[in-house]
Amino acid sequence: MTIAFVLLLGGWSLLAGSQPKQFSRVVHGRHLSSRVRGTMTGAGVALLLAALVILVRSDSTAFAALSFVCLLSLSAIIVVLILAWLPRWLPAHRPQADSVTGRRQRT
Amino acid sequence: MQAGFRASMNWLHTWSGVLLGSLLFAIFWMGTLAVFDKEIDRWMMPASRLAMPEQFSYETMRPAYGSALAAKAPAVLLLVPNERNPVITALWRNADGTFTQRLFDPSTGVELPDQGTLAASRFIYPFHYSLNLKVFGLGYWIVGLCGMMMMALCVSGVVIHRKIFADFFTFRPERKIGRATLDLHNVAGVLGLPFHVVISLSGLVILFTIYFPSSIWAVYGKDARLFGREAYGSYARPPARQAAELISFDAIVASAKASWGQGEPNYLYVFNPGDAAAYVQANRASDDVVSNISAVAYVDGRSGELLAASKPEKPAARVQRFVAGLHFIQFRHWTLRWLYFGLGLAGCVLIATGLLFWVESRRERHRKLGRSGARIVEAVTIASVTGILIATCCYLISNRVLPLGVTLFGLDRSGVELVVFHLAWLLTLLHAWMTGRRAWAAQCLCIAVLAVAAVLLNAATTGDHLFKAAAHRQLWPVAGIDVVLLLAAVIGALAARRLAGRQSLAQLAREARA
Repeated sequence: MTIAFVLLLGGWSLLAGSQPKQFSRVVHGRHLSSRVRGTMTGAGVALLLAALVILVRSDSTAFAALSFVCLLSLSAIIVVLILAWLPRWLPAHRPQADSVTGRRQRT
Repeated sequence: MQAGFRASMNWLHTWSGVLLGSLLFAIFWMGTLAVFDKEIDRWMMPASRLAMPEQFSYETMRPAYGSALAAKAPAVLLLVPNERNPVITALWRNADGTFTQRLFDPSTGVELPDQGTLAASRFIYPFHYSLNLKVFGLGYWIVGLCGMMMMALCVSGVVIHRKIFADFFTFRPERKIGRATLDLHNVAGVLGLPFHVVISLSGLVILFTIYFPSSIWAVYGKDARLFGREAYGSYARPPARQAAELISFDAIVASAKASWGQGEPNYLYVFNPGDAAAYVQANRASDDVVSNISAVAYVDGRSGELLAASKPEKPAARVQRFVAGLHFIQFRHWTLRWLYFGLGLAGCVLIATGLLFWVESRRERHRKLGRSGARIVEAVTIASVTGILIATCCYLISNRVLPLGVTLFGLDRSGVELVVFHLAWLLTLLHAWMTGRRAWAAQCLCIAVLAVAAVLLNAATTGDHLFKAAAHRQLWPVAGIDVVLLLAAVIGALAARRLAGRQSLAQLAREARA
């Protein structure tokens, strides 16, 4: 279960990273080539499927399917939350927010 | 309604969400708590914090049966103790229609002192599916309507979300509160979509006999007993009006197990107790499968002979049982239980942020136009989101503060607890109406204080403080509830701090504009 969860986190992270919008949010000033993007998407999907295989092998099919669906949602939410606060944890790339409106300043 | 498919779906999503959102939140919140109903029972009923004996004899249930016999109950339900609920529970209906519940030690069979509470199993859990409104089954119908609207909200939400894939991972907490709220609503909705759809659909499937009775009437007419006999293999016989002793419970269980093979029973339902025509309904526990299986055996109370047993289910019944099992989570799978809890909370976030977004996007406009819509919805939203959390904390605190056997204004202890819950909820609504937006921060802070108070009161009144509870296996449910309460306190305090900061910033901005 733990391994499957780690794989799901990795899979979603790669899928999120393959989106230029999310990529630029974390890594500023770097271009995401279509080749890297495709590789990240493929690897992300492969990790998600690997998690399903591990769950099916370690539990009954019904419990595995149910665990997979629940873990899929929860791990994706965790990745979203990490992505939301990651720029703040990386001081060099912190987005500047206007103190009153909360809108990010354009640079 | 607006023209165009997406526009009409937007209209449906907005207005069904605004009208039923508060009720949906209450149902989701209580359902999320009900995932750990037995653990909350342990927290609220300290006498039931027992360890399961290594070898359990069903004959230990004899004193529980004897108490129902003494009360001349026409039938008694005996819940078999298990890891999550390590007490023998006897439940029966009295002649005046009220229910009596008594708890017994699973090791000795000795009756435990009355805990004077409905705890989670008899208040929080039934609130989830009936709002505890029993008149004409009104609560079931309201919850059913909310379940159907939840599915409609899920479908319409997907239709109106223009950039569902582009915004799949997008949550920008640094943006203005309206934008951040919508991001969170989208993320909780899209990523939790499978869970929300399945849990809403399965909730309706469980109570299909109430919501879709015409399917049964079409085949069986109005004879519900015939349906019960064919679908579930139910059995009944009248009392013989002749006194007789019930044979050993171990023998009854052995006879029942012979009909279904592996697995222990989760309850024994004794009909006509003390009568020569007594018979026992034994139901196999569904702790090792997802499906809420219906393996029932009827055993003669005098001879131990198998009277009837459920037949292998047909495909439609198997599907219904599987879907019901998804929702009931009677299986023994702690990881899945925690996942359900987490996703239940995600559902609460989804509903709360939807309501909050509606208020935030209309507040200024309604204020300028002199409309009270946003103010009303905001007050109801605050009361239904932070208010129900405060009411729940007050319910727990009253449970630890009230002495056993206390009566107030003619109400017994459990009645007083319910009054405290509903009164606290009502007060949060009044507070929200009077203070408006500022109530969010104040009520979040209130949650933090009350949650810590509940943990401290549990330690003071029972001696089972967090460290002691963590060290003893049978007290882990108590430790779990304490930890969740402390987490709620931390989140409440952080939210209060952030909201108070935002409010002062918004005040500054308003002053700057003026």
